[in-house]
Amino acid sequence: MVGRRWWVPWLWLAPALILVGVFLLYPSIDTFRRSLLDERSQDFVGLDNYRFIIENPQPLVSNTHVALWNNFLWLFVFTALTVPFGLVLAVLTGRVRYEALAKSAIFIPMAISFVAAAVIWRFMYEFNADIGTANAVTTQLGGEPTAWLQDKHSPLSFITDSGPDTLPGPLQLNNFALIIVGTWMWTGFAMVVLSAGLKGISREILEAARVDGGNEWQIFWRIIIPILSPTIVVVATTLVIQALKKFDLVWVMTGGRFDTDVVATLFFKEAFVIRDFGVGAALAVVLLMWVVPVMVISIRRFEFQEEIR
Amino acid sequence: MAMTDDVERPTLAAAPGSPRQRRRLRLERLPLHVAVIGLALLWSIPTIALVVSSFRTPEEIAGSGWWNAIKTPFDWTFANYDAVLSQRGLARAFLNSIIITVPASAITILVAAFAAYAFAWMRFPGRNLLLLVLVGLLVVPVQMTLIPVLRLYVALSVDVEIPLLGGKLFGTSSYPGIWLAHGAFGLPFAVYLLRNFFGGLPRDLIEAALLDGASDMQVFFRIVLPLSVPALAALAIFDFLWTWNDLLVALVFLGDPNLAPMTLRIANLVSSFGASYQVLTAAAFVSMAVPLVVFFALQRYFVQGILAGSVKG
Amino acid sequence: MARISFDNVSKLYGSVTALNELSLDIENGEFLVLVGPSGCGKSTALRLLAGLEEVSAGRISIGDRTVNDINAKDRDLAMVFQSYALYPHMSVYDNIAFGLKLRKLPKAEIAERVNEAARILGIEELLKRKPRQLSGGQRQRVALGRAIVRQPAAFLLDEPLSNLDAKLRVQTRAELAKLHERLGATFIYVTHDQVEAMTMASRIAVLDEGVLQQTGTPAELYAKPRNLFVAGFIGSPAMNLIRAQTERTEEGFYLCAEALRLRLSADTGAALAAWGGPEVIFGIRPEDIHDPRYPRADVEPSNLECSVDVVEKMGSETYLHLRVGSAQIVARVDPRSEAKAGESFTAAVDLKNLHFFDPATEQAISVTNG
Repeated sequence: MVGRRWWVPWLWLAPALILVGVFLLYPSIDTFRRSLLDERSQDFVGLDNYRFIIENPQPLVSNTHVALWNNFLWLFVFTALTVPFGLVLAVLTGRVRYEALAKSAIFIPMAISFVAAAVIWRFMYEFNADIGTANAVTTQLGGEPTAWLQDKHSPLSFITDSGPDTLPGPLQLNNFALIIVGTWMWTGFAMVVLSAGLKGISREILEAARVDGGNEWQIFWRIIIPILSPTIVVVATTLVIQALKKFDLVWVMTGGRFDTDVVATLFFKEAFVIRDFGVGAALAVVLLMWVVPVMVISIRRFEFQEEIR
Repeated sequence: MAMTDDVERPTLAAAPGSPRQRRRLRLERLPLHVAVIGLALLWSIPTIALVVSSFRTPEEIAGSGWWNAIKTPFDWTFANYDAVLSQRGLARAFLNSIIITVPASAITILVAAFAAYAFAWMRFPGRNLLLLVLVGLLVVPVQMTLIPVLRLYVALSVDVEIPLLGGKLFGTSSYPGIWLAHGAFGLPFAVYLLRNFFGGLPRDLIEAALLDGASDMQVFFRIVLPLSVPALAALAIFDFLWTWNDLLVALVFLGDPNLAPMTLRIANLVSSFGASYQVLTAAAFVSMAVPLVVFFALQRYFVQGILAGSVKG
Repeated sequence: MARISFDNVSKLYGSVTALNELSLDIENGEFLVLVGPSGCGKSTALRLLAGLEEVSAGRISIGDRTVNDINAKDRDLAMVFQSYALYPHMSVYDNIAFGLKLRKLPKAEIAERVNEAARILGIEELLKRKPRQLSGGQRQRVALGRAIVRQPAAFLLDEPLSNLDAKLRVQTRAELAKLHERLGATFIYVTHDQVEAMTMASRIAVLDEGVLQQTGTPAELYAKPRNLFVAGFIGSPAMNLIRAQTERTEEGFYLCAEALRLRLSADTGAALAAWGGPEVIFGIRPEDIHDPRYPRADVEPSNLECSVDVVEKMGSETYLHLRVGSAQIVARVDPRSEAKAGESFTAAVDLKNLHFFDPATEQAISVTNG
């Protein structure tokens, strides 16, 4: 726009920049600095802390490889479950008269604090089939009760009963059990945001597609998905980031035991339990670096949005 | 200038059709209903388990699954709620949660909306890089920021008691301190969400307002914000929930137990009652009440696409 | 109200030139139409004037005031958008009143002006509705109303009719012209449709690839297109343009191209000879090609041998798609013509209305013939 003074945008940005600068950017830079210092943040140690993460010298105390791998697992499985569930639920609930009720049922887990959620799910995963819902269902179907949160078997071996009996299979059942809790909590988020996007699609477009003879399936894939793709990207990005810094759920439910540690819980252990702030900070920096590609993709999209409007 | 009235287009929606057609339609929709109800029930099972358990005695909870209570619904008890609600200071904790959450969410939403407007509708050098950095901070785990911010708060502490509200003016154990912290932690997501939504508004609308004589402020408050109600409502819900359910930030920044929110109070409850599920389930349900009210109050904004009819295509 | 002028105005997007040194004066009360194909820079010119984009070079002034650095809101212009850009959360009344409210006019005056505008546009009953409850035509009128109440120095209209159906478009065209007359205000109207330009404009400016091609009244542009682009763009069906050689024989001057052989009048021939090179592009409008059996009175005919491809009977006239060698031309002939597809046909070409263009520069060659 013509005649807007150069400093006007900065005035609009100032409150956000100040808050973010003090509460997020400054601590991040401070953390980066500490990742190059020793455990008491006193002497410069170069990249030693990062070498610790790569070489994983103390797998029994803090297994960095497991944490990195689990973060990876969370990233993919959690996002791959939550986005489609949210999308399907957004589309389906939008077509019934009891939409508000159905949505509330899906959304309620979001309203539960993770402390309460952990309580509920420890209940659900209880080994005693008389109390634990999951095992009650399993035994009803003729299976054996499982210690869902401790079991390190691959879920495949659990299903087929023929896989190797012991460690470690990179796909552990207990990690999936945790991811399911995450999905349960976050599907409401995906559904609500996608549903808001869905309501933005003009009825005329959908009606035009129906008049053109498209069936609901084709309309979903060829009309709704493409138009909704910006919103899907927002949701997926948010979920990826949630997965990356997943902390509370794992911390409360397993405390990272049974090889369920993720980077954020390991960071917490290193920084506040083991009190090696150097390694903790390095873990946090690694976490920050994971997100860069995600953000670059998002910004590309912003630029694209700019061009087409 | 007498323009002719062009006729309203007939709506395609409700064509009644014969009873048989209607019955067939209803049959075709059966899988839809099954899917929706099935998924909704599946999602509700843990919540139902929570609610049901909160009405059971410790012996029952330890002895049989929650579904048994549904079969014999007569031995429900309110003892757990008695235990929770009779806690001293619970009312104050409830009030504290509101005192903390409402301003913190308001700060996040307003500050993020200002920034998102600048990112979406103003041109300035370094815009995309700045947005990248700001939204990239989304990934910063809150735990990472606690120590540096805490050190800052101790240094900047203002030891003046706020009348009525209580707590210090700034620093640890102060409401403004925790408002700003929560406000800042919510910003990256809020800016990201709103920047996306604002950017999707039709350019013509903004330009029409500018030509109508609106300043940036007027465009923002009279065009952009009213049109973004669905996004703002969604953001309000999420931010409210995250702040309401937060434990970590309150734990670190609110030393004074009189200022502590519900979550902190419940966490203390857990430690004093040990791992007694029954009290915790009741407490969890009490703490859910307000978020649920907020959700039900705001959710109608998702139901209608407000942009319909503004511009074509 | 004031005179608006573009003075060597350019607009670059990166390395792309959207508008190249546009100079154009718009008098008070004119209905100026900026016309050209999409991407020609016409919308850019309008947006620069509105203050929605910054000028890269040159000067735009309204009255005595240079507005290059002036806010859109302080330029006293009103714009009607192609999308109408109605505020979806406001009633029709509030949409129209928005600009006045921002200017803090007294409530009574706002109400008076809004009602007056609504009366002019015949939308009084719609004032309480929301935009989504309106049809396309109604929305378009609300958008106009929003501009009218402002009583601006000039109205900017960006393809305001292109979202209407064909019948409504014709109707609205006439009504816009009437509205212009009634308000006596300056209208600057952007369109890609030369029919809209011809029917409404008091003056047309034709743009192509960011360059102003010609300005003039509709009649001037039609009769004397300054270059090949304007000749081809203005008029429907378009002018027939054929590349040909001039030949001088003992009987006189001829235009020749493959099978085409057209005898020219002595004056025209002499003028072409004076111009130079044998190669020219000549143009002839469809209505200047006649069926010799139904000639018009003031025609100076020259015969053209061709074959008929397609006959389109419109009722009031008939279009013949003719073939001369590989060249295809369209003739608008008397409806009584009995020409049939597939047959050969001798057309009578009105020599008084031929246009000639330099194939190298694409500029018109003056032959002073009418």
